[in-house]
Amino acid sequence: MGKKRYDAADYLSYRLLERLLKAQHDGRDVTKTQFWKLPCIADRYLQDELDINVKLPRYWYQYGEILNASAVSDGLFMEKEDTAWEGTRIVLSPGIDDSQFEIGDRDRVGVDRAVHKVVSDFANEDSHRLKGYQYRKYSPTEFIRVFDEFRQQLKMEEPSTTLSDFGEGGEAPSELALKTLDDVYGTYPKDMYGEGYSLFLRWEDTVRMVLEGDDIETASSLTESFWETFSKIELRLKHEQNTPEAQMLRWEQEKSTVISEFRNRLSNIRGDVLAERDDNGDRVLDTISESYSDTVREML
Amino acid sequence: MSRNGFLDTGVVIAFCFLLDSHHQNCKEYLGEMQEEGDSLYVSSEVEEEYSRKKSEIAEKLSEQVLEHRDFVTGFVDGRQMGPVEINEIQKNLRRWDEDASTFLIDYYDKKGNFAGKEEVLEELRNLSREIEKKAIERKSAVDSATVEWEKRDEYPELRSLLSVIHGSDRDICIMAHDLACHADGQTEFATTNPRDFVDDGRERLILENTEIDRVVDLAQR
Repeated sequence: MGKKRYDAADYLSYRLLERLLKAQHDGRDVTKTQFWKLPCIADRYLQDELDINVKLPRYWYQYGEILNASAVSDGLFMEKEDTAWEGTRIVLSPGIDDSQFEIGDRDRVGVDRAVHKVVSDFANEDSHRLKGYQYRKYSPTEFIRVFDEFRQQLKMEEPSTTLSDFGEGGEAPSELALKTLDDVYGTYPKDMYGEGYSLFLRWEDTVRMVLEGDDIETASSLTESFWETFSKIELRLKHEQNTPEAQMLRWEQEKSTVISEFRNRLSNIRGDVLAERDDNGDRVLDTISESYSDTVREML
Repeated sequence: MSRNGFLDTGVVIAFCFLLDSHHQNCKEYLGEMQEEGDSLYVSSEVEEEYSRKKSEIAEKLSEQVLEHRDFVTGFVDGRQMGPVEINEIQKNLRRWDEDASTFLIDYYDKKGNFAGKEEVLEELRNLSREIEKKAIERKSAVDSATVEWEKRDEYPELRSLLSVIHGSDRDICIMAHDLACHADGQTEFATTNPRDFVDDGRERLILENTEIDRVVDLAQR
């Protein structure tokens, strides 16, 4: 019997990958983006349906909930770059077998059951469908779910050439996106995501102007960039489990750089949009020019 | 004889960010110089200082306005805001005590006793945009009217003579002197900061020890 090097959470990832590799049609690879999501779905089934907690490290990020791969024991599986389709596939490391996992009988049976279910349900599904499933079923906040709807809306091909891209009322894609943006705004949970709040408001106002200018491509790019930033400063810190303390600390420390980099990009885009925008005079600011100038003078 | 106007960084900043008489003085000075075909110069530090102030002032205030707008979105139930609600909003702004509070209170003072919620929300959104747009437009106007002057020589003796003027203020003064040494015509140094360049004999000190012909105090003009 080999030395027990791995824990119950490792067993979940190992067993899942092993079964998935066998279940993929025509010997297709298991991609990284596909695999990172599946242990999370299995773990949720374990916790919610079987009341078993193997302490799987996972967190929400840009494309759904993912396995915290850097917190999984080393040497369990390997990432291989595939030049044919320019992606990364996941393979089991050689020499791993069941005997190397420290896991109780009840948990082992539960994990095997969860793995069986997830492989039956999701083998051969692409990562996009998995992401959609996670967003629909497991979004920790309504805001996350609605935000994803908004992202998907912006990802339609540009420029729109088919009637199906238009709404039932004949609205252009940018008009439909503006309606969903209203929902995004209305669902933002300020108390939960306090740190990203002002950044969110600034992004929302900027992307609104971009959409009013009918530039879906820029709106989409800016939105993806915002969501990546938001994932780093809020999602992975607020919606995680079993993240090692050192990693949490590193994420906390990265926040200020991440915010600053996005702010610069946002300011450049916002500046360009504002400079090009044809507004009808400066009515509001002109009416309060004295008090506004007093404020600025105090800040100078 | 042609004039060269060297703008203290503060002049550019006042022109870009202020809206009252202080700004007006700067605007008139820039206009006069341009009309008379005179040349305007700025230091290479202007760009960095402008970027810093844009972020510290315009973007900050713009964000605060959006934050207040979000508060109003949730605070006001109906479509109309009456005197009680407007008063409550102003009270909230006083408690909030952010930089934008003062001019937002003034905004509601000017609205009077009644206002439509949608109208206020739209105006606040516009206000947040105007704050940044105004600074961007004015900086663009400065850029098209000025030339960045790059200092050609060092002046260690002058640096000692101007020792009562501290830090970057002294650097900018020496840069104006450098311009005066190399450019044809009279050179003026325009500032909105009389405390550092005019008061307590500083104007005389500058005129006696540099090639600058005149210090223009735009704060007092």
